[in-house]
Amino acid sequence: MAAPILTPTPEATGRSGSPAPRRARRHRRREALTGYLLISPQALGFTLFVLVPLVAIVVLSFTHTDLRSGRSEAAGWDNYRQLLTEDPTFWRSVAVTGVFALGLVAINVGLSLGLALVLYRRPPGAGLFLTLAFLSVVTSQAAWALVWRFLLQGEGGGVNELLSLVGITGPNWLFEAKPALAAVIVVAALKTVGLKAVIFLAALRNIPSETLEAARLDGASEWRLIRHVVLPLIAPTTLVVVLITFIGSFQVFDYIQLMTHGGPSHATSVLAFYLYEQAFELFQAGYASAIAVVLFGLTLLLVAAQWWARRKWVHSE
Amino acid sequence: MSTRLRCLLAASAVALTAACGVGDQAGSNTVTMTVWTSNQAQLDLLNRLADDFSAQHDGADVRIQSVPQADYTTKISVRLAGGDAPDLGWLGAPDAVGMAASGQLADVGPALRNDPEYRFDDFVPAAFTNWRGGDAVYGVPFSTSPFFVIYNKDAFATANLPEPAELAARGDWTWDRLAGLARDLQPSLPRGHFVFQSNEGSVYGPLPVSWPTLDPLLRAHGAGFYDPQTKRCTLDSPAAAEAVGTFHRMAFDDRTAVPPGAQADFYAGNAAMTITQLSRLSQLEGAEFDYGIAPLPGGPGGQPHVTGQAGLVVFEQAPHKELATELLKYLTSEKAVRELAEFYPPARTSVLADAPEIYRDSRLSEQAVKDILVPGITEGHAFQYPRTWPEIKTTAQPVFDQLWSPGADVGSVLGRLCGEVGPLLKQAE
Repeated sequence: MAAPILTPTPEATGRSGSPAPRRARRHRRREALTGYLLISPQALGFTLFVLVPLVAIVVLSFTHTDLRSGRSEAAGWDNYRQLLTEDPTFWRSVAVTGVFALGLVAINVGLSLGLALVLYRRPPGAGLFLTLAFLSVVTSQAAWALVWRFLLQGEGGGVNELLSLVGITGPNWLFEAKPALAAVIVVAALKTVGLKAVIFLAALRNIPSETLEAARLDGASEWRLIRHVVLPLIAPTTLVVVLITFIGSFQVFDYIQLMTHGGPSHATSVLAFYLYEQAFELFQAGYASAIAVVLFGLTLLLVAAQWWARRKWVHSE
Repeated sequence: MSTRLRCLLAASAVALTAACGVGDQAGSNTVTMTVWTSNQAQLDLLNRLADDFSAQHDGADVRIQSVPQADYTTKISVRLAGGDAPDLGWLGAPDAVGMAASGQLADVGPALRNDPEYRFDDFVPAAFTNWRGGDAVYGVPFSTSPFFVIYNKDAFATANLPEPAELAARGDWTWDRLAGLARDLQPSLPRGHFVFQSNEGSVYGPLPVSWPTLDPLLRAHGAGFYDPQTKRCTLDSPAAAEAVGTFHRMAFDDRTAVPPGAQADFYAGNAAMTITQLSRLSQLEGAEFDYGIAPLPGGPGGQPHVTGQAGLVVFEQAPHKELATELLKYLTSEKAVRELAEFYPPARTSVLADAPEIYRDSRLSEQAVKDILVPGITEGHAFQYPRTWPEIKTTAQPVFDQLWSPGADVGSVLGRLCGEVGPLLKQAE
């Protein structure tokens, strides 16, 4: 049997017991150099535009930097102290971000998994339905947000017009504190349902049909089949989808900026929006950097927790 | 080294060069000016004036950089913080006040006053409300644009109701009258249409964009945001509550003002009346209705004249401050202001004297130019922005949002608002 393509040979790893021929070593060096050269533009771009700004943000977070006056002075831990102990708006934004993330993950993952399970059975028109669901994925986020802002108008909006058909008077979705956050969560969640459904569908199609057949022969009902066979088998995919949705939810900004501008009364002011407000409306770059660092740390912490928890949830990696 | 490796090295070098950019190699005779307009006709005129300036100044190279308005202040602030200041640029009044206080703007006062040909005293004094600090002059307004009311004549004719301009001519044009007229007109409008739209529908938005509707309302009622002398918030006064309450009743009780979130727009024909400025009238292109112009409604506080302003400033860190100051003087000279007046209402009295001629082909009638535009500038007052305006607008916004719900207690919300912004106003002293 031929060796797998991606498995390095002992010679290639240089860990062979006998010394490699000189020519082979030169060849390997040249290959390595070629590789480095090929990735150098990307590596340089990453260093300049990702790594350096990341480090700069951490450094800035320890300064009082006012973009308006151009003044910058060392602040020690002042920004973090103020953020964590004296800024109720920050904590409110943390809470809003948490609600947003949980709501988005639950709705987005739930809907896309449900859609994938339905489409997996290939009902008539499944392809067309999936195409329609995918349309929102290729629509720009700004266009999606603006269309929904129109549909969510209190008077004359499409959503309330539909609700009125069944005798319900809808709220002024984006201008009342409670419905505003819910509305933005649902709008953001619907945007990528098509994409996540495709990912789930691919995972479902990878489940061996014999496994499902065996469960059915053992008398498993549809619900038990999904609960005890399908979901555990696609758990690695579910974990990845939950993780990317979760990370995305912590970075949400466009929907908030375009639909509610953080209002009404901070009801939709997520951390990324609060950061923007501090940096580009109040020009407090130091304080905004501290928020960015905290947001980064929070995201990292929660993702790490989920990654750790996979050992409990995922058994089929 | 193999040919393949050499090619790869060369390609990497090209890529690195591209990634790093080659920078803007501005020479010592190059002045950069930032503007937010992307209107080609306006840019053409600015470029032509810049060419004239170059011809008079040993071929000085003027580069006009157009930055989208939505990001303008942010980008300028970042450039200033990064030591990459343009030489001069447009600024809105609220930004100019903050930047002047932070030492970012050059004092051009001596250069303007010491040049008799410039005729600094030709400007309407009130036009400098936000551009002066003591004797220092931090910018020159190139656009002093009065707010006025525009209305759909057809809607009023259909309902057989008097037009706002007629009421204004009779001295009967107040916010109370407007609210009553709106109640009479609303039943004749199609479903989803409203009588009154705030300036671009923005009254429910962030404070800076809602201000062009709220400020005229407050002034007409003899109220205001704060007292510039004592730096005390005055929104907790009964007059302010009555002013804002008038609009609140129109939106939530009478349902004659476009409610929060609704997209009804005057220029699309879905609202019968709005507050606007000269520059917005280009949106009438293709409108299928006849329109009329009226002054802002008055009230117990008299007839308000409110202007919105943008000015030309020289940045303190400008690499070519002297040449930039010369360019500022040139672009705000009587000759240039006369040419720019087509787009930007002037604050020079000598140019205003010829306003009927300048605006003969505009969308304003000669009467509207004489009765609304010119007095709007000569008697108008821009809102005097406190130095801490960015902090005030951010702090005030969450409280302000509470106004725009059906059961809001307007007086109580405005009282809370004063509680929040009072300390920030004091900081501005």
